Amino acid sequence: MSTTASRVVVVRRCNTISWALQLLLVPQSCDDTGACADRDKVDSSRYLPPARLVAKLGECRENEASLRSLMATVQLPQLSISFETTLQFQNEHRVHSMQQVSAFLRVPMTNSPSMPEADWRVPNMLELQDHFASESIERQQLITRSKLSDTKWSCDTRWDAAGQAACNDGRCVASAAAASLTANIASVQPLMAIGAHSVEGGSAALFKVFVHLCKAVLTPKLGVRCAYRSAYEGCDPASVDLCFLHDARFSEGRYSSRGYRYVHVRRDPADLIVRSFAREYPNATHTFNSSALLEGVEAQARRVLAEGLHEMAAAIESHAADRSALLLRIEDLTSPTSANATLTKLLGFLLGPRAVPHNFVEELVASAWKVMAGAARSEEAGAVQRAHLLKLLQKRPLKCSHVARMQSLLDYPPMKCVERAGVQQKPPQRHPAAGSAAGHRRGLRQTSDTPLGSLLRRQRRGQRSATALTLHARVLMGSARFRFAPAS
Amino acid sequence: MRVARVELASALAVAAIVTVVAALAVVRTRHAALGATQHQGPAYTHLHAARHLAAAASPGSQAFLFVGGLQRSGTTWLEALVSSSETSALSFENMDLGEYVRLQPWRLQNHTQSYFEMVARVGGVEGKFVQDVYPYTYLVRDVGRDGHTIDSLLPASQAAAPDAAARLFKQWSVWWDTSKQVLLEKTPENLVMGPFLQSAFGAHRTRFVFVMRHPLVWALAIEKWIFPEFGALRSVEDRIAFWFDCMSRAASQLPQLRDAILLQLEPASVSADVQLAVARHIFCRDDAANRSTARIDGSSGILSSSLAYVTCWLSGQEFRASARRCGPRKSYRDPAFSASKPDRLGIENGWRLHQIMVQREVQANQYGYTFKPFLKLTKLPVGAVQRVRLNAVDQVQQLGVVTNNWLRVRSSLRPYLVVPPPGAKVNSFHTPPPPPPAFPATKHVLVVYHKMGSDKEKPTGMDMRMDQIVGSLVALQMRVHFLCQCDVDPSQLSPFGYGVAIYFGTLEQQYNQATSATRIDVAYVFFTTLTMSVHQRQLSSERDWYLEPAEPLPEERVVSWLRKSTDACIAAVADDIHYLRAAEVLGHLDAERAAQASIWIRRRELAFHESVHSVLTVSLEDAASLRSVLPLVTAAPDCRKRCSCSLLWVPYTHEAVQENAVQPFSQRSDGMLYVGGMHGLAVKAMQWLVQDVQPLIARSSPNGKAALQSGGTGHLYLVGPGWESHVNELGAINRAVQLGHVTILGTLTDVQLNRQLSQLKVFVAPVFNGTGIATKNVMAMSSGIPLVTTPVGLQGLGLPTGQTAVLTADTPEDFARSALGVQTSPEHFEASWRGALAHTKQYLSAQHQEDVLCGLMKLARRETVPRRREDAPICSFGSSHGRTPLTTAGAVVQSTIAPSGNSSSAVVVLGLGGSGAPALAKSLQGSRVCLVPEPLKGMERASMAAQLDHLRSLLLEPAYCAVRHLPLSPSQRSCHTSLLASPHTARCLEIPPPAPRSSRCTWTAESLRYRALRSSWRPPPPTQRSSILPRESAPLSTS
Repeated sequence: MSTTASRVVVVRRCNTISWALQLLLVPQSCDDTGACADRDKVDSSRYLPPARLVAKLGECRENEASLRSLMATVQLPQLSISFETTLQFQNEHRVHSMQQVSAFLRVPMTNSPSMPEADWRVPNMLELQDHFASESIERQQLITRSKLSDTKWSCDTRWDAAGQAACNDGRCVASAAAASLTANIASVQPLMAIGAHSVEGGSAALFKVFVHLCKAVLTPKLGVRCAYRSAYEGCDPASVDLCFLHDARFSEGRYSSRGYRYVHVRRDPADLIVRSFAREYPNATHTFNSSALLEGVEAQARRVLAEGLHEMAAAIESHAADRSALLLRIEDLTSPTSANATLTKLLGFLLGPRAVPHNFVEELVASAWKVMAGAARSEEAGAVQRAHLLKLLQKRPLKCSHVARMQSLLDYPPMKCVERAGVQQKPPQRHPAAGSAAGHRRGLRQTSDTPLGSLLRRQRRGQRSATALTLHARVLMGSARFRFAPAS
Repeated sequence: MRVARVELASALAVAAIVTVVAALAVVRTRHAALGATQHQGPAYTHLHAARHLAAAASPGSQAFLFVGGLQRSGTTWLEALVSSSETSALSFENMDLGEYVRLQPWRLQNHTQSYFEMVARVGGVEGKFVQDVYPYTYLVRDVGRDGHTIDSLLPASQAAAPDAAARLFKQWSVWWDTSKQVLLEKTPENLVMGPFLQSAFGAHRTRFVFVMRHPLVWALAIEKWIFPEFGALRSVEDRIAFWFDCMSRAASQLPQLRDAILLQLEPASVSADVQLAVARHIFCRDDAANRSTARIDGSSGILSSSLAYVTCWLSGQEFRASARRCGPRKSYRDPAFSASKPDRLGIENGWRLHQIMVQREVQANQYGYTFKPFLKLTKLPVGAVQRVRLNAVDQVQQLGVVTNNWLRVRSSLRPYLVVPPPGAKVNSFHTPPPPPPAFPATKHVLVVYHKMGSDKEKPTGMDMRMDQIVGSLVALQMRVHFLCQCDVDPSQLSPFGYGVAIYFGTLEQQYNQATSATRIDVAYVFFTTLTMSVHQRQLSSERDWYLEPAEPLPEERVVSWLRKSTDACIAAVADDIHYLRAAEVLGHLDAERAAQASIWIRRRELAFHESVHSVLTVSLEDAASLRSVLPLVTAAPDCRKRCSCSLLWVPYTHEAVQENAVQPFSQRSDGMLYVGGMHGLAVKAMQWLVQDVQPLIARSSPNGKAALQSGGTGHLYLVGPGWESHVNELGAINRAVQLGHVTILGTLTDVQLNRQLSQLKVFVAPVFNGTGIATKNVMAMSSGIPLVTTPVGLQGLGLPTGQTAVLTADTPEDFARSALGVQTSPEHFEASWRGALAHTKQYLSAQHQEDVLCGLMKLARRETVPRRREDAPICSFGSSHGRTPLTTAGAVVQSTIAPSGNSSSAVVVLGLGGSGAPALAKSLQGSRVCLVPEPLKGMERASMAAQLDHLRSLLLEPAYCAVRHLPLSPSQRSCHTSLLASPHTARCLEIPPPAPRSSRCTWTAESLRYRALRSSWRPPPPTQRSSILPRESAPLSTS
C-alpha cells in the first residue's frame, strides 16, 4: 500500500447564530497564504441589519448541510467535533472531546487549542435576539429555506451516521454538494457602484440621495452595505455592496470577480470648468475684474481639461462597450422634467438581476425624492455667476474650441466660441458610442494635448506676456492653485 | 511470479516525477509507424515521391501535428521548436502567387486581404483562416460577445463530418509541402479543439503539442490586443478567468487525445532538456536535435519579458515589448488613474493581485503555477519593482512556476505536463543535452522488459516488481535506459521519473538508440512472460500452442545483441520458474500437452539463464531450484574479469506501514480477508477454504455456524476482480456466498483496501502452487495484519524455518486453528503482525533490494568506484551481504515489541469558515497535519471536476496540502498529561517527517530527495483515485 489513509477531523459550529454573526462582523482580511488571521477580532460597534443575519444564517446552514453530504461521500475515517464543546469553553466536555480527537488521530495535542471567546455584542443584539425568538417572517423563511424543522435547529451530533444514512438513500452526490458549497460565493450579487466627477461633477447631490436611500431602504430591506469613497480609494468587494465614488475612480478590475453594475455620471465639460472655478473662488465675479477672470477661467479650463475631463473621457471610452456600465448625465438627474425617469433608470440598472420586492424601484425613487429636490436646488445655485464665467470662456477661442471638442466627444452640444481673426475652429468629434473605438482613440489623442506643451508652443509664438505665462505655468504645473491678485 | 492482478496494492503508481525524459512519457502510445518511416534508406527518395503523389490525391499517409495554446503563450515559439526538415507548416512559401490570387483564401472566413496578410505576418498562416469546415473563431474576441461561450464557439468532436478531414486537407494542402511526413498546423484555438481534430483526421495520425503560460503574465501580455469592445476580457481579472476556463477545458480534453503534450512555456523556454525531449518525441528519434530547425537553447528572453510584464503592471505602467521598458498605460485601460499617477495605479494593482491570489491560487497550483512570487513584489516600493530582474538561481520559480512543490500540479494533468524535475537547479536547464540526469550517473544500465497485454489500469505484480527494481537502480544513481517490448506505452507501466530514459520504436530501434547514446555497463533482462505467452496461445485455441516457436523470444534477441555489440554484464530477472509453473497453469486444460510444452520451455529457459552472467530470482526457493539445474558459471572468463556471476534473490518489496498506524486488536472486527484476482489457482484455494476450513472453524467456534456469518471469525471477505462477475460459475464458493459465509467485496480502491486491512483480524492466503512469490502475502505482512498461509505461501518471503511471525498450516485443521487463534488471542495477534512487519521492513524493503543490487553492481564492474565520505566505497559489500535472513526473524519479533509511537497517517483538519479549524490544527503536533480551513476555498470559480479533484488530492495526498501546520517548538510539544491523561495520549506521540532510508551506499542530495519522494508519496492509478469520491450514482461503501 503506497499511502496510508488520511484521518479527517471536521470542525463544526453548532451555534449557527453565533457563527453567522462572527462571519458578518469579523474582518475578512487574509494573509499571503490566503489564511485569514484576524478573524478573532470582532468589530462590535457595527449595526447589523436583521436581513443580513438572516441571509448569512441561511448560508451557514446550507454550507453545513453541503459539507456533511460531501464528506459522507468520502470514504475516509473521519470524526466531527463541535467548536463550542471542543474549542470554545473550558469545561469537562472540552477535555473529553479533546481526548476523543487525540485518540482518533493518534496525534498529541497541546492543552490550549482554543479560539478566543468571541464577544458577539453588537449595538442591536437585543433586537436580533428578539427577532429570532419571535415567530418572525425571517425565521420562518430561514427554516423553509434550510429545509430544516425547528427541532433540528440545534447541532446534529450524528454527523457520520446521519451523513451515511442520507447517502444510502442515494441523495449524496459529491458534485452537487461541492456545487452547493461554492454556490453562495458564486451567487454573490454584483456590486453596485456610482461614480460622479467630484462636487462640481454632481457628486454632492448624488451623495445626498444615496446616503438617504441606503439608510432608509437599501440597508434595512436588502442588507446592502454602503460605502462612500473619494480620491483613489476603492471599495472592498468582499465587504461592500454599494460603493459611491465621489471622484468616479472606478477600478473595474477590482470588482471583476464579483461582478458589478456601474453608473457613471458625467457633466457638461464647460459647466464642469466654470463650476470648479466658481467653487474655488466663490465670489470671483464680484471680486475680480474681467481680464483677471478671463485668465483665471482659462487656466482653470486648462487644468480641468488635462485632469478631470481627460479621466472622464477615458472612462467613457473604456465603458463604451461595457454592458455592466451605464452612462448618465447629471443634468438629466437634476432636471425637473427628466429626473424621475433618469432616477428610475439609474436605480433599475443598479439593482439589475437582484431579486427585489415588487415595485421596489418605484419605492426607491419615491424615497429618493425626499432629498432629491433639495439636492437639485443646491446644484442650481450660482447659475448666474456660472453663466457669466461661461461667456468669458467663450471669449478664449483656443480653449473654447478645446472645450467644445470635448463636449462633442461626451455627447453634449458644443458651445459657440467667439471667433477671432486667424483662429479656426475644428469640427466637433463624434461621440465614441457613435463611432469606432479607433476613431475615438484618435479623437482622444487630439484632445489630450498636454497643457504645458500647448503653453510652450504659444510661448514660442509670443502670444502671451511673460507675466501671464509665468502665472499660467504655475497653475498648469500644479505648483499651487491659481490665486487672484486683488484688482488694483 | 503469479499473475495476480495487484492493482489493489498500487505501488506501481509511483510518484510522477516528470523529468526531461518524462516528456517522452507524455506519449500515450508509441507511433511506431512514424518512427519506422524515418529510417532513410536508398529507396527513401522514391518512397517520398510516391507518397507525395498519393498525398496530393487524398489525405495520405502523413501524420498531422497540431500546435495550440492561447495567443501570446508562445505558440509561435513552439511551432518553431517542433519544426524540422521533415515537417511542413502552413506557409506562403508553399503557395503559388497565382493560385493565391485565384483562391482568395481570405474570403473563406470573410476577412479582408489586408487583415489576413497582417495576421499571417505576425503569427504565420493559421489553419482556422484558410478553411471553411469549422467556423472561424477568435476566442479572445468572441467569448462573451453576443452571449457566446467557448463551447458555443467551438465545434464538438461529434461535429466532424466524414468528409471533414478530406475537405480540411484539401484547403490546407495548398499551404503545405505535402511531400513532408509531418504536416504541421498552428492555430491557437487548437488548444480546445483537440477531440474535433482527432476525430476528423483519425487518432493514429494526429498529435498535439500545446503550450501554456502563467495566467497573470498571459493576461498582461495579451492586453495589447484587447480593445474596449472585447467585453469578456476587459480587465486582468477577466482574462485570468478566461485563461482558467480555457485551460480547464483543455485539461479535461487531454485524456481523450491519443498523443498530446502540454508544456509550460517558462521552464520549457529555458530548458534545453525539455526542448530536446519534445523534439525527440515528435521526430521519434534520438538525433532530434539535429533535425529540428529550432534553436534548442536555454536563453531566458521569454522569462525576462514575462517578469517585465508583471513588474511594469505592479508599478502602474505597461511593458512595451518593442522598447523593452515600461511605459504609460493607455488611458482607456485604467481610466480611474491618470497616466501621471502610476504609483496610485501600482498600489491598486498590488491590491488586485492579492485578491487574485486569494481567489485563484489553489486553482493555479493545479496547473503548476503560483502567484506568490509576484505578491512579494508588491511589498517593494513602486520604483523598486521596475528594477526587479531575473535572479540567477531561481528564474523559473520567480515567474510563478511551481517547481519545488510539483506535487500540487493537478493530478489529472501530471501525465501530460512537462515540468522540471524536482530539485533541479536552473543551471541544469542550460546544460546541453545529453545526459539528462542532474546527478552524475555512476553506471548506465539497460533494463529490458516484455509486457504482454494492454490493460494499463491493472498493473501486474511483475510490472510492480520491474518498477521497484528500476526505482532502486535510480536511487543507486544508475542511469536507466528502459527498453520495452510492450503492447502499451512504457509510460503507462510506470510514470518513470528522474534518471530513466524511455525509447521509442521497435525493440531493435530502442536498443540501437540506447546503445548509440551511451555505453551500457549492465543489462537487466526481465524473463517473465514465457508461461504467459504459451498460455495465451492456448487460450486463443491455437492448434500448435504447445509446440516450440521457431523465432527467438524478445529477451533472447536482446541478449544476443548485447553479446554481439557490447561487453555489458547481463543479468536475467526471473519472476518464476517457467517450466514448473507452465505445467501447472497449462495443465488445467490439457495436461498431456502441457507436459510436452514444459519440455521445450525448460530447455529454452535454462539456456537463457546460462547465456547471461547473473540470474536474479524472486525467492530463495527459486534460486535454490535453479542452482540445482544450472551449471556453475562463476568460473567463466567474464565472471573472473568483469562481471558478477551469481544466482541471487532480489526480494519483492512493499512499503511497510508504521507500527503505530496499525489498528489495535480491540478495534478490529472478526473475519478473514483474502485478496487476489479470480483465476484457476485462486478458485481452487478458495474452494478449499470454504469447503474444508470454514466448517472446521464453525465446529471450533463457540458461536457455531454463526461464526461463518458476517462479522464472525469464520466469515470470508473476498477482494479482487472477477469474483463477483463469475460467482455463478464457482460452485462451492457460490453456495457459500448464498449461505452468507462469504462476502465478495470486489475491486477496492486503495483506501478501501487499506481500511479492510486495518479493520479485519486475519489475512488468509492458502497457496498451493510451488514457484514464484505470493505478492498478496507481502502486502499483508507489510500492512500489519496477521497472515495465515500454507507453507508454499512462504516462498519468496525469506522467512526462517520455524518462524512464528507468519502462521502456516498445510491441513484444514491447522489452518482453521491458526485463523481462529489469531482472532481470539490479542497476544497471538500482536506477536504475529509485529513479527511479519519487522521482517518486511528488514528484508522485503526497498533498502534491502538496493543493497542486493548494489552488491551485484560492484562485482559487476570490479572497478574502483569514486570514493565519497571517509573513503567509503559507493557500494560497500560488507555486512549487507552477510545478512542471513533465515536466522533473524525471531530476534526481530522481540526487538519490535516495544512501541515506537510513530504514525504515518496524514491528518486533515477541515472546517467551514469561522469554524475554528485553524485553532484545532494549531494544537496538533506534527508536520503531517493538513489544515483545510475551508474546503474548496479558492476553487469557487473552478470547474466542478477541478473542485472534486482538488478535494480528492487534499484528502488523499498529504503532499498536496498547501497550508501545512509547522511542527511545534519543543516547549509546545510537551505532553499535557493533566488534560490528556488517557491510554492513547499518555506519551507524546509525534508524526515524524518521512526520513530517508539509510543504506550502505552513500547518496547524493538529489538521489536522497528522489528516494524521499518515492517513499513518501505514491499516487494510486487514476481509475482507483477517481473512485475515492464515488461517481454520481455509485453506491457508497459504509463498511
